[in-house]
Amino acid sequence: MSTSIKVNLDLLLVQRKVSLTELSEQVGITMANLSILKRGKAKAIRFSTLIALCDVLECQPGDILELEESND
Amino acid sequence: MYSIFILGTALVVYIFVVVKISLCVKKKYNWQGDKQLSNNTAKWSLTSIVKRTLDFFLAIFYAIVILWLPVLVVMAISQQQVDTWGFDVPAYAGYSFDFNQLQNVDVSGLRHPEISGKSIITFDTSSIYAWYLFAATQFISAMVALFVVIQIRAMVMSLQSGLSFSTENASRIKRIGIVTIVWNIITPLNQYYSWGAFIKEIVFNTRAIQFYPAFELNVLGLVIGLLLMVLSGLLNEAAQISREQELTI
Repeated sequence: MSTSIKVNLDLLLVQRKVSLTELSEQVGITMANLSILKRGKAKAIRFSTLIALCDVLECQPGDILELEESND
Repeated sequence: MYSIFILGTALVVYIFVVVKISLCVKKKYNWQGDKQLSNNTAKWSLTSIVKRTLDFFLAIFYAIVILWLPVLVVMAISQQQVDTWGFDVPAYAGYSFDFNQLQNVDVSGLRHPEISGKSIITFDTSSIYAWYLFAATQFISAMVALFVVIQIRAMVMSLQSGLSFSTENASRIKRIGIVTIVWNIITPLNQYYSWGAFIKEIVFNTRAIQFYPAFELNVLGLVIGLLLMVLSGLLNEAAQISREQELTI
């Protein structure tokens, strides 16, 4: 049993009807980095990035990040 | 006729091996990659100059590897025909001279009747066995140097492409460190057992004067090898931190 952080970016993008390219332009993060974040491959996220994402997606950090328990 | 057949077969095998090695080297250490790298790096930067120098040495090394065997055989054949032929090879030797063992010599006035020290004895390789041994040790040294040059060149190439901290570079430094340590242990042993055997044969050995092969351990070389291993560990750690930094969004 292990816990990990799940990034709900794809769900928020669908809900807000925003494409990854638009988000990338508005937040100022490269598509490559955003893709790493979306796929859950990122090791860490800066507060500045989180704030920028929350500003654009009009949500709370808790909406983007979620604690997930897996049976690995 | 029989010897020509053997030499011919050996030559074919040798050419096959050389071609195979060249293809492997070309594939692994791709020479064409330089063209892509040169676009985003300054032509006369320090890394570039070092890379060019290493390229030059590498080309010389490959030429030596390819030419070594034919030259060795030709020289050995010519050696058999000329009596005065041979190389002067220096070897470390220790010596001790004991006045006590000399008859009719009064040593009561001498504070140190025994003299001992280290010396370099030079002898020629007119013996065919000594010649092959000398050539083989030289070839092994060249191979070690070639290996180190290849590793350093690969590191410089990765520096050029912007991969300063990578686990590959760490393992390259580790390999150089291991080779340095092993080399500094094997070389004195080689000197002791191979050249030492010749010194025993060619030098008189009485109770008064004794020559014996000396064992010279290069402590500095061993320390450098160990430091390279430590450096490799540090670089590995740095590579992991760099990787984590890359994955921080």
